[in-house]
Amino acid sequence: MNDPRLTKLIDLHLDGALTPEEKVELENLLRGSEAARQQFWRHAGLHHALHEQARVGQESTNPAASKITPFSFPSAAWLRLAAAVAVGLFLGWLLKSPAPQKDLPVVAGSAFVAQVRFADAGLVRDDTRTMPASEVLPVGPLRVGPGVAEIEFFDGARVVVQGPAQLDLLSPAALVLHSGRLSATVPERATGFRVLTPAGEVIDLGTRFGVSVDPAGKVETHVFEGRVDWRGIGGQTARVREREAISVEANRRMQQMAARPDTFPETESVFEALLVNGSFEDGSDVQPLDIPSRPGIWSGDRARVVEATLGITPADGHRMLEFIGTGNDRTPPTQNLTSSEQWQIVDLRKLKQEVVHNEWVAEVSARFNRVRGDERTDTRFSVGLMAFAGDPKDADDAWENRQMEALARVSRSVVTDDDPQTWQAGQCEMTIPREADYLLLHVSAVENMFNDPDHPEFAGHFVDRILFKLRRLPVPALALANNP
Amino acid sequence: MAVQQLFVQQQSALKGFVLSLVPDFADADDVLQEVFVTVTRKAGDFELGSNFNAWARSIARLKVLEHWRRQKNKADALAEDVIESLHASAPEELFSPEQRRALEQCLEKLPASSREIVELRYRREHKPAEIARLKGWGANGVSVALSRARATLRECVERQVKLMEETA
Repeated sequence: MNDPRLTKLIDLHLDGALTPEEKVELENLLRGSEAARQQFWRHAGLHHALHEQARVGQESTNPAASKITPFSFPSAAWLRLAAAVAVGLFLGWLLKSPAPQKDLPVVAGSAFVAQVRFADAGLVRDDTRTMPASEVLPVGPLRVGPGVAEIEFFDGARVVVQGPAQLDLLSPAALVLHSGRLSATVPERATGFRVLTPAGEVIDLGTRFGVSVDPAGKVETHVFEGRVDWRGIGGQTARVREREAISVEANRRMQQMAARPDTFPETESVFEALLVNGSFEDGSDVQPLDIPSRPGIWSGDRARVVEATLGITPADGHRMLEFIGTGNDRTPPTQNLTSSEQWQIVDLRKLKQEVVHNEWVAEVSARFNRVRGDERTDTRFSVGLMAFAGDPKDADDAWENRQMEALARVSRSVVTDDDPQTWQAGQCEMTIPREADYLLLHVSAVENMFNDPDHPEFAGHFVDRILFKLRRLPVPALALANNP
Repeated sequence: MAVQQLFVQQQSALKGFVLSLVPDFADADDVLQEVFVTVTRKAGDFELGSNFNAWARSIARLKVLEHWRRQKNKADALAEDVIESLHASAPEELFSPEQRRALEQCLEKLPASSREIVELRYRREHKPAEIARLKGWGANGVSVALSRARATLRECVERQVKLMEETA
């Protein structure tokens, strides 16, 4: 039934080892008879089965290879298509993969897998719905307009995408990048996070990295910290280490180069250690010297750091700040003030030099509490920020002329209840103007019920647990900033 | 059932078809990927209920032809008319599930020397010339060894399938 000469020629063809003469001979035999063609297919069937079998054997320790969860697609037709492309790619990889380490990261259609943290570009779902910050995102395609959007996956990875870009969320731990560029920051608990591309997939090994897919299908993977594994659709693999990068062209040629962090967007950065002694725990007292002239100290009106007193326990640690009076020793006796304030300078100058400046957002929160008292007991507190340019040692003058000099101001009032057991929180945030060099942060107790003419003006009013942070919003790739 | 799901189900058969005409494993994957993209793009043309495999395979045939037209090195390319007639006579199923089960058993029974050569060819995806270099053999020796291993496997699979049919 099998012609031995034909068998040999078919085998040589399947091994890519025919000489030109043998090829002509094989072609003539195949043209000549249906039996020859049937024999060709029988041999080809075994060839393919052996290839598949070898790979199955390779993946026998990995249940994912044989367990592909069917998709349940949302209704939009093109979403089906995009998701199916992802499935197709997945299958390609599984067949190609030397040894996938984790289960196939695919979840059913309607599951929510991530949350928008920031989106200055239009972040569009289902081709119609713009997703603002804090929206939760289900499995499915997303389009990012020109700008950046940051997404936090529920497994912990943070991904900032620079548009224009097309992606598909696959699971809390995987996405497909069809086009565009992204940076991922993957905390240890999310190790194994995957970015799939048309040329292969990037598997995180605990790291920060960038991936780009250009219109010609060239995929670049840059590692900024830690390392990642690359697994190409053509079967080639690579481990990319810190400060290294690889580029895979559409024709699958892989090139190594140095990582270029400036060609990728940066995720949001948070700086939290800028406020000193926010819970008044370090033992130092506050200065009764009006506006401070240097960062890192509390100063302002009459106040003192105390431990639990008057039935009020600190919100944080063992100490808290008690507001005592409006004004201090420097205040002219004739001046009638209605609030007791404390200030601290937050210097931004060093940070502005060291960290890529884009848009900064300052957030402050504070807890307030007071004694029950009577109908004359004041109830109102406030917390706020002002931004100034210049040297912080001139903060006093700047504050005096704040109507003119403040680049931005925010303040939030909090009316406390009469239960000493509970603390009420106040918070506000401010987008910091580019020219700002420092911030003045303030907390205060306000005489809103009765303007006492004498001391003590406050009968038991406290602030504690003042938290301050600066968020540097995601930044587009610096190197691309001038030619988007 | 959506066309994409049909593709996922039929992917193995389509891969077998492509691999027979584009012997390089990686190139075959690329062609299959192109088939997939085209199938999804043309999903609207496909009438549900008709023969998906035949439809997708005709797309695969076009993609194989396009692939070879693009290539400078056509050493492994069969003539277009041969590809067309092979397409016309391709069976619905290249390798049945019974044959696959049998193949598993047969691979285990394969002598160690043959198994090694099969591993190098199919798991490591080495071409015969590379295997020859690795083993220090002549190219012809590798081809002969591969042909022998496949012949052994073909006979074994045939026997096993017959045995399975009889016991069933």
